[in-house]
Amino acid sequence: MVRLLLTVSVVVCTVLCTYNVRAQQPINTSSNGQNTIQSGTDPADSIVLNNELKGRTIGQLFEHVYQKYAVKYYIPQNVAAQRVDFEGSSIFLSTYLRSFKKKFQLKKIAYKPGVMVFAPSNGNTNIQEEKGIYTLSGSLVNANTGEYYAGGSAFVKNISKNFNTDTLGRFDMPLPEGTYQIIFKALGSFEKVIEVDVYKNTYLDVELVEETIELEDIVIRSERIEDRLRKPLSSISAFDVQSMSSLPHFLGEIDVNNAIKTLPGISSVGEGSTGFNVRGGNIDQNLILLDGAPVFNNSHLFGFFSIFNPDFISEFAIYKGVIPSNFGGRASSTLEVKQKVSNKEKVKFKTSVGPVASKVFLDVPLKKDKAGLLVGYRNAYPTWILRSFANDDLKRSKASYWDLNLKGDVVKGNNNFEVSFYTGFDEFNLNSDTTFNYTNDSFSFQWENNASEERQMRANFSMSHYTSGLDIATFRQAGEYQNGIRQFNLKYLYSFAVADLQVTTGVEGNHYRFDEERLTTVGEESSLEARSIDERKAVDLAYFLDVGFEINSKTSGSIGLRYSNFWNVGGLYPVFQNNAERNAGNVIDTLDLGTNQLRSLAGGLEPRLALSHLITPSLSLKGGYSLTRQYIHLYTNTVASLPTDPWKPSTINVKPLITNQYSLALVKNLGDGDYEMSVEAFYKTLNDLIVFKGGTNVLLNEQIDTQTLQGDAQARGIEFSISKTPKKGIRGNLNYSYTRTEVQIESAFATETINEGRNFPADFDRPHKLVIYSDMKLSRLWSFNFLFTYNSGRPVTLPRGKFAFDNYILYSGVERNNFRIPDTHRLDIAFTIKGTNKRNAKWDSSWTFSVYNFYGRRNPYSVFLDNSQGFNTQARRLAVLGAPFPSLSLNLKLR
Amino acid sequence: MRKNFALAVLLFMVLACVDTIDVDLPSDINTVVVEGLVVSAQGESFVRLSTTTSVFIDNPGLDTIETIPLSGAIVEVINGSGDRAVFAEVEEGLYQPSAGFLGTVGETYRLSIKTSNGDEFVSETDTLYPAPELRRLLVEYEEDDLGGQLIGFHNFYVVLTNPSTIGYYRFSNRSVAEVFTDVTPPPYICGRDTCPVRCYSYREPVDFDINTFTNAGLAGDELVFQSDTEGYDNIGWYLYTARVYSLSNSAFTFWSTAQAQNEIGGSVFDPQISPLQSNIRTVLGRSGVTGFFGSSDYSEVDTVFKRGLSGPNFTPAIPVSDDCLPPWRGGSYVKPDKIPG
Repeated sequence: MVRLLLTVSVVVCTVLCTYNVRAQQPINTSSNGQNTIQSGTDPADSIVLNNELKGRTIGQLFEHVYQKYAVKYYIPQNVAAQRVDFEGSSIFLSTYLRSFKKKFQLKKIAYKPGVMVFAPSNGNTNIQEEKGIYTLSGSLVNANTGEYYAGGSAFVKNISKNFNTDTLGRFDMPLPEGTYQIIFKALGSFEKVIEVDVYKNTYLDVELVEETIELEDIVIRSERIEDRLRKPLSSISAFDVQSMSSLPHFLGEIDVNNAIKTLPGISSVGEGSTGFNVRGGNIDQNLILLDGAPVFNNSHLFGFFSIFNPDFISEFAIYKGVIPSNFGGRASSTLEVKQKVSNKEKVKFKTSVGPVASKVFLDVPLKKDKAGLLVGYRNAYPTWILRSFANDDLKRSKASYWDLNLKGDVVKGNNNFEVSFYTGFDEFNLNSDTTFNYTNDSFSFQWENNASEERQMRANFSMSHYTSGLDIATFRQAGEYQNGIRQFNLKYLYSFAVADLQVTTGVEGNHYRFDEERLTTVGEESSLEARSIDERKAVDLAYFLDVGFEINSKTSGSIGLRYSNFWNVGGLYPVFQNNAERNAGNVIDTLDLGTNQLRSLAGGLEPRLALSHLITPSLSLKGGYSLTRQYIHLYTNTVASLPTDPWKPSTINVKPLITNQYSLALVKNLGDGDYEMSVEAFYKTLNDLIVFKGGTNVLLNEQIDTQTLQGDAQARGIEFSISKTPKKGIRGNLNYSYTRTEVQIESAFATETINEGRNFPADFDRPHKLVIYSDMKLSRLWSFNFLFTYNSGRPVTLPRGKFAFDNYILYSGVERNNFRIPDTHRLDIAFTIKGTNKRNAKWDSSWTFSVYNFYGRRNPYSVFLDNSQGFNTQARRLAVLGAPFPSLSLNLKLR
Repeated sequence: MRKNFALAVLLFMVLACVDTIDVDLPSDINTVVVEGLVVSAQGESFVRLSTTTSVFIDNPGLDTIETIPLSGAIVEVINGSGDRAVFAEVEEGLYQPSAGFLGTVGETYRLSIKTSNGDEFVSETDTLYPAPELRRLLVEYEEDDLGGQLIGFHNFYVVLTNPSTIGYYRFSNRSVAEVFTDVTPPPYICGRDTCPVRCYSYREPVDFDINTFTNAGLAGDELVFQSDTEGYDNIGWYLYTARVYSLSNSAFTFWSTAQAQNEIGGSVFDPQISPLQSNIRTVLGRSGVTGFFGSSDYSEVDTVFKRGLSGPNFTPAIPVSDDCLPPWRGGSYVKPDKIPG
């Protein structure tokens, strides 16, 4: 095993490259079509200004020159606002500058190659310069990358005056002649104190060393603390990608799924399982949106990774309490993932190439400040490595995935248009004749109009298609199985302010098609029987209204209403005899909706209410209530959900799921915002939750309605969270939650009753959950972080007795989820050392050494009985990751 | 930028491990087990009473099914007309009717039990449905390369006439294998070192897989169902008999849940174990009860073939000597008539 681990760790030790395509200074030639400038000459002699620049401000002119020719000109701010004017259709920049200097009484200072400074000259000038007052101007430069800091400050100690830089990191400080101590600081940099003699106008680039851990690294939430205190909605966790980076990543991967599982109240059935459970909800009760398009399976490779490409993610938020009324269709939570938009200024390119996976990311401006395109592609292909192992099981296994993201956006006045496309494919085979595969496709188009701060409109259209299949290669039983679901979504949302009310209203419609479940035979010799289950169709329509209000300066709230309705479209549905056991013999009729006939199935109001009261400036009390309805369901009856588990609609035989949730929270700030504590309790009821009879096979099951049970469930819990987010020093989080979920399935018929109608814990009922993570800066270059997780074991069903029956071994005393597997805990650690901070280095580098499951805990994924030894039954434990897993990664970024 | 390369598959398969653990389960050792069957064949109806045992038996050497028989009970089977047939205890825990008792297709039956300690159990009424006509049995040889080792299998398919009404059935198959050598483990315990003559092992059923099926939704005059897959473990003559029992709807439910219990493999992709749908209930006393009482008609079809002829890569039979050991429980070393030689 040790040798194997080393092998793996070598595999994951991969050179990672980032290319940021932008000339930092004038260069001789370019192969990419850019205009070029000869080194050693005045660049202005080579730059031609054309007619299009007339009428723009001079500031825009020099920004254009900088972007196109990488030659930076600094000019006084009052000059920058003047308009460009010259005679003729084009002019050399050098010619223009001569008239420019004369017109504005400026003198040119060649500060360094590629950087020119125009400062006011003596004499008659329209730029005021007091006698003995000089301008100290310059920029804050990242010593690591050479890039200019976007924001920063310069504090002049002698006169206690602070100057802020502009968005490009530039500063202009009018100072009387003298010597000054100035403290320069930018976001994410160390401070730098410089003593400057000011006796003339001076230009100065100040190099600042980047902090090893960026300032926002540890902050899991991206909201400001004050906002969190005042915001009526509780149970929202919003992230940006940077905020996840303090967690030790699984094989170095930043991942949405892994990040949200650190939150209290969110868990999964085990390591490497698909989906997540929110406050006692099944994995199908989470509405997952990628730029507005629903996602039906957000996992790659058994759930170790999500389909969300970290290069593409801008931010994401999960609502696990009161969900805004513009989201609907799922009972427990909404995970909204937003992708980046193009920077629209410069081409960015990142890539990594490795023995088992590669990825590429491209950010292309199509029209400066107006339109851009993002392209991302990832591919993991570890099969060839599996086949190189001596282990036969591995030799016979394969796994791979790829995904492609495209996103374009256009800004036109107050309108933003975004188009997103995602497609991804997974395939795996665990030493068997059966290969699983699944595909996620989604497309979304969004039009956003921001007429003003008070009035905004958003229209969204999306299409999602999820297909999954099995390739069965058993000898003379070759076949292919396939199912899928596709959803079309149209949503219109309008926000406006009336008096002190913030109103959001809109309408949303969905069309669902549940693809035909189909088993086809492959080859003439196959003895498999081709079968299929007809497709189903459905639509839903919802109207929503959210009103945010403030009662007084301390109390605010939000009230939401959503009215939804659901229709079955076409299809045949068995009608069972009333008050009789549901089995094939009790089908008394068939409801035939033809091809496209609509039948309204269910609907109703979904009220939501959230209130917040500021008890003290640092303590708030929040409460909430919500009702949600869910009309489509994932049919799964295995320990871990399979990618082939089919989605099915509510019908006359399957009622919609309705949840009611009540929550109460206290949020407290301590230590000037360095600490934040929250405690939140919730109680949730789930009516008509789907549970299957034991042993039900959900694939190609024509009798599935007779094996589907529905009952009520209750979830309750308390969640505690404390985070330490000082500006400096050790940062960390501690999240603890206690959640219980119990289900009750009772009926007049024994075959439709589970555990004789008594409450039993849900499959994912794991009461205690503790997550602790911290990020420590050991030195300027070294950092260390860890993540510790503890979870109660989940329930499983084990018999209490056994007996012989017709020579078979059968079990008695089988009660659903009557046993709890041992608790799980795990420690992950990571050390990161940054490379040189030398300014002239071509690469930024860092090494990260991480160990997943540091102390090699064999966390049980499941416990089951093994009868392979005859009547001598033994209990077996399956641990998915039963050993420490080290990985080493080298991160390189081309400056 | 942080980049990474994922090897989740390796993790999943390289680092995943299955080991044995101790599980502290409360024992359910007092539940009465009822296995009852009325058959439309002379001398084959029976009721077997026993009690459940602990799931974990502290006996690593135990490799056969252990039951704890329940003696001294009064067992009666009542048909739809109210006629009662007493099943007498013929061996410990095994109760059988008199020789003249015969199940009748279309008749209904229910069971009544009074144990010696005063518990009383009854079953739901079960209808005896006809078995389908079995037309023929097909044998198919299959080889599979399992990690470089060639493994042979025989697949058995039963061809039957499609009944005109929806029916529910289960296979119960038997075989007799001609065994030449000291093959262990059971059922082929044939000699200490070698066997002087051919030993014949008989076991019932052939394997431990429950196999239920129905003709619901299937069209055509003739249907084909796979009754079995048998590992090829020894060269020699092989007599295979496929028996199809008819089942009532509730019997089909019971056997389906039994099949589901039987097929649980423990994988994360397996459903959890499910309780049996027994049709027995306690009417007096505090003892729990499980099992099933049913009534069935059956049909049989068999075939004899010589294993080894279809597979080129198997070791020839080893010459044997005298001194056969007693065969495995339920087996016999009496050569069936249908096996040549």
